[in-house]
Amino acid sequence: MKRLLNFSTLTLIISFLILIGGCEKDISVDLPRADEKITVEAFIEPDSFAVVFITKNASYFDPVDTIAVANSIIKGNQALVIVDDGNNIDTLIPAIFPRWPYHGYKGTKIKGQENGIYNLKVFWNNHEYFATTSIPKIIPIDSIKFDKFSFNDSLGFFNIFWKDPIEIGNYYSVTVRNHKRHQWFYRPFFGIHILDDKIDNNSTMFYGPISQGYERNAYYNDFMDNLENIEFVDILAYRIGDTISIKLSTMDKMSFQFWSSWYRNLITAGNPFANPASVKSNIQGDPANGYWIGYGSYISKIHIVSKDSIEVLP
Amino acid sequence: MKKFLFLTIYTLLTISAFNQKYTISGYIKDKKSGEEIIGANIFVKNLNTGTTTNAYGFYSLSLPKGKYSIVFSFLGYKEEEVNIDLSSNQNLNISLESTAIITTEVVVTGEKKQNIESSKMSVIKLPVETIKALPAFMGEVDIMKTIQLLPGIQAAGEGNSGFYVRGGGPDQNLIILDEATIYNAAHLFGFFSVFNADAIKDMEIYKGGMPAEYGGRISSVLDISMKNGNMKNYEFEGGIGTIATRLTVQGPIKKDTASFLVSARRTYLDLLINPFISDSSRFKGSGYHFYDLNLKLNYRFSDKNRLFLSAYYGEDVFSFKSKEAGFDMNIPWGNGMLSLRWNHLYSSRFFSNTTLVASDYKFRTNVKMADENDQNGGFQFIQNSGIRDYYLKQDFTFIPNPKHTIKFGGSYIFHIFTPNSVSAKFNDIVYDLNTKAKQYAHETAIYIGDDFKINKKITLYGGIRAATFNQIGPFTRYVKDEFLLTNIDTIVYGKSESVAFYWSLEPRASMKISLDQNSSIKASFMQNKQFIHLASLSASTLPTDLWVPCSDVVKPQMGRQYAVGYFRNFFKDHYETSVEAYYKKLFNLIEYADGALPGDDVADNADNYFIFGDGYSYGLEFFLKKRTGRFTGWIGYTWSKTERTFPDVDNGEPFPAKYDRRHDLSLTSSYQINEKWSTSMVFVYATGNTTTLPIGRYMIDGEIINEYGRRNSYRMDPYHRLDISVTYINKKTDRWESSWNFSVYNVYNRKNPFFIYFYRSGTVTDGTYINYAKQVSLFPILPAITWNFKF
Repeated sequence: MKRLLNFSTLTLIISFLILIGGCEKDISVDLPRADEKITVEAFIEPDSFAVVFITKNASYFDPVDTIAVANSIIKGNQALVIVDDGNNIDTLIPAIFPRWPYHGYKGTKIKGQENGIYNLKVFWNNHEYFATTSIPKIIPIDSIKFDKFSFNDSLGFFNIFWKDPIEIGNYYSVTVRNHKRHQWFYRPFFGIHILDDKIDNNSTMFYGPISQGYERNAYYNDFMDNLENIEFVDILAYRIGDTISIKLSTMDKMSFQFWSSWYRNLITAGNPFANPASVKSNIQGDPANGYWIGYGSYISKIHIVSKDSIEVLP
Repeated sequence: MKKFLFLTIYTLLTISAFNQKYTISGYIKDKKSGEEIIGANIFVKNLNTGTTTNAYGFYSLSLPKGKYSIVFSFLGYKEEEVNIDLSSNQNLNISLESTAIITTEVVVTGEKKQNIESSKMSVIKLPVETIKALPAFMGEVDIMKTIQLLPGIQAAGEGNSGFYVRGGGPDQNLIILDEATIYNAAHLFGFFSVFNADAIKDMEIYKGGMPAEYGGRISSVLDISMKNGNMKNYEFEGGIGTIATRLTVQGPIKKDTASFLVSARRTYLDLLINPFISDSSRFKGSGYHFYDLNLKLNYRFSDKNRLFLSAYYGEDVFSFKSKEAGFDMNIPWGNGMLSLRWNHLYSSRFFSNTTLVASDYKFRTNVKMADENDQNGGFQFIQNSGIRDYYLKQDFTFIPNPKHTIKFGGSYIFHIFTPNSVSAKFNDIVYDLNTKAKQYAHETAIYIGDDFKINKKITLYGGIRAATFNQIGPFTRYVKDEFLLTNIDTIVYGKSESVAFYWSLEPRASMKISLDQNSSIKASFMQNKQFIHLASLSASTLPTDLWVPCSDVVKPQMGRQYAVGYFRNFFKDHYETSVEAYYKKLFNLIEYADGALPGDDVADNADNYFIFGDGYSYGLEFFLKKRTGRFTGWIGYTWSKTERTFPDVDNGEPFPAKYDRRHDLSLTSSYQINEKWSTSMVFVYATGNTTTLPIGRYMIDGEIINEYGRRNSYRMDPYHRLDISVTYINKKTDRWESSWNFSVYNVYNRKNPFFIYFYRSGTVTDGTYINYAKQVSLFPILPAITWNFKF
C-alpha cells in the first residue's frame, strides 16, 4: 500500500509541475544493441511434468512484426531441453500450449514431487544453460470466501486463507483460472501475486481480493485500447455460474527473489524517479534471462452456485 | 588533544606578550542602517598589511607602537581613512557610507585583493546585491541559483533541488543559515531556494580548502548570513511579483542597541493556475504553494557582548482533493530553525561566539479516503520522515598579532532521525507497522586552525579537526539474509546503548605564495568525514530523500581533496581571474540497491537496502570577473570528470556519476545604462545529465521486461538557457525607492531535457508493439514582472 502510494504521490506532484510549465516531445534515442540472450520460463509442479518456454530477447527499438515475433520463439528441435531428478533423465518434447509463446517443451517421464530436487539443462545454438530448483512443501488452502459487491451482489472477488508454518521463510504465489475463459493459470489482475511471511509468520495468512486472472497481452488489447467502453469491474469480477481454480503455490527463496525483482522491474520501468531494476535470473551458464522454478502447488476448484453458496469441487 | 590545545594557546600568548604591541579593534558598519559588514577590509598603509572583518563585522589588528594611516573599505562603499597614534589598545568602530549605484571607475586601492592575498582558495563570497542584480527566475531572486553559476558548482538541472560541488553529492554540502544547518534548501524541487534574498546579507561558499571550523560535510560549505536589522530607522522592503509577494520589515527596538527584522514570502501560483485547469482534469483540486518566514533579533549589551536570535520557518505544501472520490491528500515539507548566538570579546584580540541551534527538516504525507457512507473516518494514511538537530557550538578567534589568526573551538550535535514512519487507520482499526522507531546520534568535534602570514609573500593555513559520531539506542537492527528477503535475526539496542561509533581526524592546509602585487599561486589539501548520508532513490534529489546516520552497516563518507590555483588581477584590480585544478577522492558513498523502492524500509532498516562504493572527480575551473564599473559580471567555465565505482553496479566497473559533466559554462553580466535603467543577463551551458536507459527487452509471463544498459551510460541533450532582465527605477529618494523588474527566463525557449521516458502501444504477441521515446522538458520561455519597493 505504502509503496504504491508514495510513488503515485510523487508522480502526481511531478505531473503537476509538468502541467504548469512543461512540455514533452518525441525524440530519437540512440541506444546500443542488447546482447542476444534467451529467456527461459520453466517450472515443475507436483504430479505434473516440467513445462519450458524459450524465447529470445530483442534490442529496445527493434521493430515488432509478426515475423519478428515468430522468430523470437525457440521451438521444435531448435533446442534440446533435459530435466533430471538426480536418478532419472527426461528429455522434453516439443509441445503446443494455450498461452504465449504457444510453443514450448514438455516432460514425459519425470513428474514433480514434494521435496524433490530438479535440474534443468538447455542446449541452444552452441550455448548451454542450466539451473536447479526444488519443490517445497505444499501448503493447503484452508478456506475460501466469496466477497460480493455491495452495489451488485451477483459479482464479487475471492479471498483465500491458509496457515503459515512455524518457521519463517515461506514464499507463496497465487494464480487463478476461470474455466469458462482460460485454459491456463494467470496472475490475478489486482495486486502482486507473490507474498512472504515476513510480517505474518506462523499465523493465518490471507490473500485477497482475488480478481480474474489475465493474460497480460490480452489485457492490453481488452483494456488499454478500450478504456472508454468497458465496465472495469464487470470484466474483473467473478459472477454466478463461474467455475474457478485457485492455485496457492509455495516456492523457494530464489524463486521469490526472481518474482520480486521482476515486479520491481515492472514498477520502476519508465519511472524516471526510481533506480532501474534488473531482474535476477536463476539460469546459469551462458547469459540468459528467466527462471526454473519448482512450485509446491495446491489447487482449490470452486463453483459459484448462487449469491450465497459456493461449491468446492473435487 | 587538550594538552596540545593548551600548549599551543599558551605558547602563542607568551609570544605575543613579549612583543610590545597594541591592538586596534572594533566593528565596521553600514552608516545608514548600522548593519555590520562582513569581510570589510582594514589596510594599514605604512606597513602594507591588513585584515578583514569576521562574520560579525568585527576586526582586530595588533601593531607595534606608532603612527598609522588605516584605510577601511568595502566594495560599494566609500573608503574611510583614519590616522591614529597607537600607544595603547584602541577601540575604533567605523561606519562606511554606501556609494550611489553608479560608481565612477573608482581607484581601487591595494588592500582589496582578498582573492590574491588570502591563503583561502576555492572560496567565493557574494554580497546579496550582486545576486539581486542578476535575472531572477519568475521574478524571485535566488541565492542557490546564483551560486550554481560559479565554476565548480553545478546545477543539477530543472526539477532537481541539489547542487553539486566538484563531483560531490548534494548531501555533501553543508548549508548553514546563521550557523543553523538547513537540510533541504529548495522549494518546489529546486526552482526556488528557501533563502528570501530580502532577509539575506551575505553568502560565502567553500568548494575546497575548508577551514577547520567547518565540518560534517565533505564537499562544500555554503555559509549564509541573515541581515541583523536596521539599528537606526524603520525600513520596509518588498515586492509583488508574478508568482509571489514578499515583505520585509526591519528597524530599531532601541536605537543603536537593539533591532529586529521580519521577513515573509508566499507564492500564489496555485491561485493563478487553478481557474485554467478544466473540471475533467485529474489535477482539478490540486494546489501547491510555499512560504517562508524569517525573523532576526539582535541586542548589543555593550561593545563586548552581543546577542542574536535568528529564526526561519518555511514549508512547501502540495494538496490534492477530490470530493467525488472522497480523497484528500496533503503533503507538506519544510525546514525550521532557531539559532541563538552570543558574541563576547574577552579582549580586543580574543573574540568568542557561542551558538545554540535547533534545526529541523520534515516531510509528511497525509491521505484520507472517506466517502459519505464512512461513518468511522474511512481510510487514513500518515507518513513522516525527517531529521532534527540540537546543536551547541563554541568558537574562539584569537589574534595575537597581525601574523596569526587562530581559531579554535568545539561543537556538539544531538541528531534525531525519523527514517520513514508510517501509520494507517481503516475505520477503527489502526495498522501499526512498528515504524515509529527514530534513530539517535551524538556528534562532537574540536578544532584548531591558524592562518599564519609568514612573510609578505607567503601565508600558510594549517588546521586540524577531530570528530566523533555515536549512534545510540533505542534501535532495532533487522539482520537480513543475502537476498534481503528474510529477517534472520533482530538485534535490539536499549536506550543510550551504543550502536556504532566512528571517529575522524581531519587535517586541512592551504598556502599562498604571492608572485607579485597582482598575482599569487595557492594550494590546498583537506580530508574530512561525514557521518550522515542522504539516501536518494531516484536520479533527482527529491524532498522525500532520507537523511540516514552512519550505523553498524553504514560507514562514514570520506573525502580527500587536493587543489592548486593561480590568481591574478588585471587593470588596477577591476578584473579578477583565477584558474584552479582539483582532484578529489570520495569513499564509502551510498546508493540504493537496484530497484529499491520507497517503503522498503517500513518495518525494516533503510540501510539494509544500500550499496556502497567510492568515487573520484577531477577538473579545471576558470573564472574571469569584472568587479567594478557600469558593466560587471563573470564567466565561469569548468571542465571535469566524475566517476563512481560500486562493486554491486556493473560488476564493479567505474560508471559516470549522475552529474558527471564535461563542460559547464556560465556567463553573467549586468549593465547600468543610466540612473533609471539597468539590464542583466545569464547564459548557461552544460553537458547533458547521464541516465540509465533500457537497451533490450524480453517477455516473461506476458509482460515486457526491460534489460538495462550500463549505469548512467546514456547522456541526455546538453542544457542551455539564456535569461535577461531589465530594471527600471521609477523613483529613488532617500526615503522611498521603487522599481520595476521585467525578466524573461529561457529567452529562446530551449526545450531542456528533464527526463526521458518510453511510451508503448500495441502488443508484442500480435506484432503491433511500438516503443517511442519521449523527452519531458519543464520550463518554456517565461516572462515575469515584479514591482519592488523600499522605504
